[in-house]
Amino acid sequence: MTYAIETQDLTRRFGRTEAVHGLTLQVPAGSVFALLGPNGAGKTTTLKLLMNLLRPTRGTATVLGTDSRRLDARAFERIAYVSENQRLPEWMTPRELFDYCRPFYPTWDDGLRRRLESDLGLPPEARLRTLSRGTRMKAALLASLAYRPELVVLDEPFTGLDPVVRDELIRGLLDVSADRPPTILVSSHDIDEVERLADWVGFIRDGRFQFAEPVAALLGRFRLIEVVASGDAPPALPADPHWLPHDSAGRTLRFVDTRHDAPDAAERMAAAFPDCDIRTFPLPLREIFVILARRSPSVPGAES
Amino acid sequence: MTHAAHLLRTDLRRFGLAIALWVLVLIADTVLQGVRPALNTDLRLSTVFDLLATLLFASRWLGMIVIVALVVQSHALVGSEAFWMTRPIRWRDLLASKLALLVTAFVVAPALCDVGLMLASRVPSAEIPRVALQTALFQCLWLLLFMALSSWTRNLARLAVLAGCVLIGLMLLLNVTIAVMVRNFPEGPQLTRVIVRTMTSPAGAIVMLLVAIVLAGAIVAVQYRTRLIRASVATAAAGIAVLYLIANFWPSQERPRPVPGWTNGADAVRLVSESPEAEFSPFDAGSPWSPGGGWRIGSLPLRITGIEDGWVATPRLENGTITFGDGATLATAGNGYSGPARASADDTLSEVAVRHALSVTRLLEPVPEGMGPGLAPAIVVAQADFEKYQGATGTYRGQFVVDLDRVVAAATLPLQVGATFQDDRHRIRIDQVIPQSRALSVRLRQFTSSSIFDSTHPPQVTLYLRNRSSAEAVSGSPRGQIGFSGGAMHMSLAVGFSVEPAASGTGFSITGSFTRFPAGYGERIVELSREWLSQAELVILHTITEGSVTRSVEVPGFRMVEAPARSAR
Repeated sequence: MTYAIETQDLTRRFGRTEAVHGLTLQVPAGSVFALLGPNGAGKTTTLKLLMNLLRPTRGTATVLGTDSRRLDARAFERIAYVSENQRLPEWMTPRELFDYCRPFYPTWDDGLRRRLESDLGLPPEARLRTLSRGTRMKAALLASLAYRPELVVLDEPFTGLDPVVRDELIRGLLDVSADRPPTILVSSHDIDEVERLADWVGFIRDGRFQFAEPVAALLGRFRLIEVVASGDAPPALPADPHWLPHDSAGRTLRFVDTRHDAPDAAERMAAAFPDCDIRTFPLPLREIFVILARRSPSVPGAES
Repeated sequence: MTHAAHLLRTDLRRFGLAIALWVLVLIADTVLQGVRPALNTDLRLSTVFDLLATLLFASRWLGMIVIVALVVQSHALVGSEAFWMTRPIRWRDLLASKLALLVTAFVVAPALCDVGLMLASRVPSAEIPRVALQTALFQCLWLLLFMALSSWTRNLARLAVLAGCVLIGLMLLLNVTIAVMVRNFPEGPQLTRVIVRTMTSPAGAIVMLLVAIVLAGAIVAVQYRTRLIRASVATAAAGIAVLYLIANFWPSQERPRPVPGWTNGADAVRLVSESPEAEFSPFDAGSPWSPGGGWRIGSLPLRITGIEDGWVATPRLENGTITFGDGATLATAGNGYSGPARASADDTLSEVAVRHALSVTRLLEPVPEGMGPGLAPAIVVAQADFEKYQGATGTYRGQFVVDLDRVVAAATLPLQVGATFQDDRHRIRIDQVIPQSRALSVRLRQFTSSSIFDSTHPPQVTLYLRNRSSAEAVSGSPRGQIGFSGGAMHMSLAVGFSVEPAASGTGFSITGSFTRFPAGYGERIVELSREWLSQAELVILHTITEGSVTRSVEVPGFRMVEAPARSAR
């Protein structure tokens, strides 16, 4: 497997605060990788380190085969970066923004630009400063997709946007992906925003990277287990690093099995709860994210 | 189209209007500089023009600072949110586009305006490129400094805070420096090395200016290259260190000013004291930091003979001793002081030289008190020694450096509107002749060009009214000088570098002034009759600084006496 992004022990300190600590991450080429984490987890800092907007205190990052500290103009011809914090030249209209960007990109596709402009319903002649946040984000995204980048890095692109705009942006991204799929790294604190997009997911918390794995694998290994005891009391949850308590009521115990994809999962379950009625339920990605977000940094069974 | 040209076009679209307005202000300021001295005929107009000139001057500099900041900060070089930082924009292209725009607006345009003003003012063509180049170089330095400050901040508000901090820091540094100087300032008279007049090569100031420009450019380039404030601040610190080294260790290349051949004659420039009595007055070093309590300065009525016509000689004390009959010797405790030397009991050398240059027998204006045939400082002694030896007789031996100046009539103009004098760097035009009761006022415009590339200071200009038939002349006093040279601001920066330029380097300036004849600074009122004025003409005198010679004087029978109260040193 080739990787569009690889980091090794990536660390960034701001004074005494360690915003990112020893991050080791691999983003497969061609994947849509969602970097998830609560607010203040270190997602934006990580992406800025990858884009050479910040220098790492320690460690290295390679982006499309180039050391992030050496990302130059030529490298950025293949990379798109859109951030909610980015200061766009707001005195321009969207059309002027595209005219401004076009000469810098040998691969600029005006046909794609026109199509996306039409699909996203951008007002071409209004100044960016007069547009809503969602429309400005559309313009920024369009200015970043029209040259068919190999890597698209999106920092909280959907935050605060209404579902309609969010859907339009996702559709825009997927449209480009359909032609020639780029690697997309998108950070978010809300799994709902990226669930439709991501095929890989990584989780960061308090500046420390927790895990990264394909969404399908994640969905396959997390299960909600419901155990109904034959007696009056619910059964006790045995100590197992992969079983996370959920709740209990009456004779019923519920917990989350984070290794349900293991071959011996059913046997371990049966051995732990003899004479009990055991039912398993798949968990949606959002639920898995919430469970992980609420756990301590060392999530049992969270290693990829 | 190259990326730099594309970026330039984008900036031009955004800031073109602001820059065009600034250029209009620049042109208006230049035009006003040119016409103001000519139009300034009464107080009301003068007030309006003063206000307008102040407004234009402030708009010009504030506008430049704001536009430079906006242009630089439109592609911010600090922080991590700027749009361009993740676009395929090379720092060299970005810097080249910014420089192309800003240099055109803030370096080329002011230099062209200077050229236009000088052409309109009929400045000799040889002088125009030098002054224009000086303007361009200083504008370049200011521009790069403003660019550096702007590149360290992301918006105008932060730039204002940074500029405020820099100013406060400079003021604190200045205050601390002055406090240290005051603390270390030696009290009382000082013995220094008294040297002959020298000529300074302009190379030092030029090198300093060029290095400063290169270093300011390096700060900007490093910030564009690295986007790291610590890297460009380190470059700035290194640059200041380099400038300091140049300022202190650059060979000054000073050489003595030449002296005329006649000074080699056996009797040339001889010092003689007209009286063996030296008047001693309380010593005042002339500085509030240096109280002179406890010291006395003795002055002799020194006469200088063996001077060619049209020359002025001024003695500067180098060393002086008094040997008394009891064998005791007093040596001067301070030196470097100068005073007027006499040509005769009634005449100063300068008055004789002026009369000669004007070819007149009499100057009507009486010599003001303290400026007449006075006394030249000869020795500084302690108050206790003065009290001890007051009235005692001894022999005074003094060594003096005698500075020579030449007074020549550069031109004679009829008292008519439009009469003009012109030499290489100076032009004077009569704009108005205003007869007054028993006096005359002349409104003049003076066009002066001076740059750091000049190796000599321009001569000092004085104006006289001369009546040939009566062989009399009267001096004038300029009043109400109008005009400003932008070069003065540039030079204040150069002086900050502490390398003295050879010439004043104030650029091109046009000043207007009213000169009243007689000057009216004497005790006796001089009145010029209508007949006298009808035959008068305006004479422009140049006083040219020349070299120095060293001379000694011996005064036997020297006595120290208390100076009368009227005596002024």
